[in-house]
Amino acid sequence: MPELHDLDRFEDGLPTMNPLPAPEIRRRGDRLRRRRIGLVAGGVALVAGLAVGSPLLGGSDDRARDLQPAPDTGKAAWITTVPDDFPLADGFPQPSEVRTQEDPELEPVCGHWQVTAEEIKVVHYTGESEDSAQRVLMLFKDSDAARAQFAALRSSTTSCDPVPGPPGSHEETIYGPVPLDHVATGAEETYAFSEQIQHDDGLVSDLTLVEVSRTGNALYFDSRYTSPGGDVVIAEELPAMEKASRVPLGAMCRFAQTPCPQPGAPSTTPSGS
Amino acid sequence: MDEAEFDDFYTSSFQRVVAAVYAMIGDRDEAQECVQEAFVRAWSHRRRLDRAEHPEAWVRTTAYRLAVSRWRRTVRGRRAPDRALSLPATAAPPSESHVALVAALKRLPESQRRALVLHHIADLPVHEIAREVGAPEGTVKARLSRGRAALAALLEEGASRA
Repeated sequence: MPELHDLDRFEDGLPTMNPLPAPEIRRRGDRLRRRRIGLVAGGVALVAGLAVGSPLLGGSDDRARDLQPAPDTGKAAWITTVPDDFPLADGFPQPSEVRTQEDPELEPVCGHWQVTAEEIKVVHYTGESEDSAQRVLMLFKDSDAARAQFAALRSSTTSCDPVPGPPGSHEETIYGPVPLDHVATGAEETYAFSEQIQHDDGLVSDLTLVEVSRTGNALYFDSRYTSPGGDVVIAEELPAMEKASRVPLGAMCRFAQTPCPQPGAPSTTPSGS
Repeated sequence: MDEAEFDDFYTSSFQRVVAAVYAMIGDRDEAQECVQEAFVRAWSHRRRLDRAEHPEAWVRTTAYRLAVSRWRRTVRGRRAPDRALSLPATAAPPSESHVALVAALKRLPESQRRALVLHHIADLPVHEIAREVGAPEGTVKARLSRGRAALAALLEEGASRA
């Protein structure tokens, strides 16, 4: 049977593994890099998407009014393809890969639900330390579908039981809603929840904070992971996350029942006024 | 980092990083896949890797986070483990001693397990471990101390049952 000092020579006697050849690793890395550069060049432009006069933007107060979601009145054409210049990665750690994918691979995962979006764009960041972040933009066929998805996500994450850790780990993953006293700027509905690891000595760590916002037929999913956990960390991270997402949240008005003017669109204001 | 330098880095550190991640997560095949994926990402981000003070730590941390993320999805039934990256497993299985050691490590709290692995298997001093896990040095020392005591007790328990 092993003894404690066997840890110091753990590699001794471990069978040699069968790794991929280095050129293959580089080939796959080059492919990943090409996809990333292509998507960023052709997809997300770092342009401020704020529109002047948008009814969804507040005045000097960054905290938006509590807006009631508008019923779907059968708007003729909802936008179901993410515009090339939607600033999903604005304020996000760089460099970041923006990609289109069918499965949003939302982190964290809690509850059972199906995503029925028409298009999904994801940007993910993994830092050199333990930090990571993710943003997802989902477009649905109409605002009713987006509203239903929002409600399903909210419902599934408010009733998640703790998930035990690996056997003998003395920890479990816990979930909980994060009380909000505001709707994120640019959104019609917002809710937030957290995932953390609770240790048997009472400490919490490994916080993933998630905020989901809906405008029209679009859902914006913003998550951030930090090694420390707890209410104090949540109270610090949530406004920081919202501040970093100010531009993409502001651009969500494009997907509203009455969309805001697009950047670069002709002004309806007569010249000389 | 040019191709030759990366290839040297990959071949010289692969086994060591896999050993550390295997000890942290308890699954050698999964560790190998995650480490390979981490090296793929390292090459795709080689400018960032050039700026990293500790490239091996970057790869190890990335691999570990990938493994944790995949474990969470697997345990919730959302996603089957992705075995696409590996060549067919032809390597011999680990020895009974390794399996027993890894099984005992798995029973420790994650923070203690990780500290022990980084110190004893990856040979990192306390201040390097503190930097890698984002915890104060005193906390790392406490985790090492408690972890060693707990692991010793678990190994003794295993030996007395054998």
